[in-house]
Amino acid sequence: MSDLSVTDESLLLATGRGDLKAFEEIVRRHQSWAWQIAYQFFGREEQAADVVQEAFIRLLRASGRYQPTAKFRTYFYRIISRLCLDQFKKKKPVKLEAIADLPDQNPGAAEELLRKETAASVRLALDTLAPNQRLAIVLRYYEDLNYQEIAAALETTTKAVERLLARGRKHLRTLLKNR
Amino acid sequence: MKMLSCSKNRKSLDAYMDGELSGRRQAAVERHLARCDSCRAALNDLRDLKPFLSSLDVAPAPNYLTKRILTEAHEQKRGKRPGLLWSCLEALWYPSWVVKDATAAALIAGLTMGTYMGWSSFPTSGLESRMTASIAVSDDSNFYTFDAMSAAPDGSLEAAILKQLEKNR
Repeated sequence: MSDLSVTDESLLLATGRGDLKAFEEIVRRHQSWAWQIAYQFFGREEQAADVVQEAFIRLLRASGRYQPTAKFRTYFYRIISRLCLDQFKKKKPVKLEAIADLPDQNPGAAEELLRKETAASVRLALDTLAPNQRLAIVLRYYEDLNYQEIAAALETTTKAVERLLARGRKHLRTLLKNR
Repeated sequence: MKMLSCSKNRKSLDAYMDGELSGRRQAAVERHLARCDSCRAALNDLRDLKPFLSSLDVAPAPNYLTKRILTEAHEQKRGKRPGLLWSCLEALWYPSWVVKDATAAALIAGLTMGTYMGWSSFPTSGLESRMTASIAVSDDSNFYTFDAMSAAPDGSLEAAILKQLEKNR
């Protein structure tokens, strides 16, 4: 069933008729980016895995009612976004541990350490954002969605998305200013 | 041509950077940026975020994830009873008419059961009790038959009370 001419919408309709092979193909095609969103949002494997699993199962359970009025990706972005926000409310954020300074004589080690420290700072900064700002930032920077697509995923307006991004960026710039 | 003020321009910088402005608005912002060092610096600050955000590594999806998803999918198809979490999620996702109909059905079943139980203890006329451990209390025209102590094994308090009541009749 790895035929790219079969659209995602057709696969989801087939899933709704009980075709699990179609569902497996959906998982194969979309797990990677679903994982990226969840992982960038939470920064933790366990929470990201839970959300991705739940997102696909929710997709499976809703497939019987699916109407292809919206594109599959739009529909699935919405499911994932909603789950990220719901899970965020349920679970307390987990703080990253500080990175130890390890003496290393290898060339490039200092650069690698700096990169890791920067990544850790970015992670901490993202974790301090309000969940909807964080999700807007993730969808913009890591999924390259435009305002309309982000608005559809977050079930809001493009103006609200613009505000979420502006506030999120302002907050991140303040925290990352001296890096 | 009217120039944008800095404060108005700053409000549009995010959308400008994201390519989300209409042609006319974009041109107005560009005219302002051509003459304003401060707003150009603010735009550069915005752009500088991108390399920071790109520094975040994404761990690859764990190997167990696909199997977990597909295992659960097969269980769903086999119709195994969903856990409490899925039942709650299902209630949120199902259309409201399904939930309402299920609630109405439960209500009707409860009322029917209650009616039957009430009817079964309705006063009966001229009927002798056929129960071995029952008390018949009569007024002028009706017997009210209460099978109040049907579970009264020999030697129990209930059986003793029944015996005494029978004696006193």
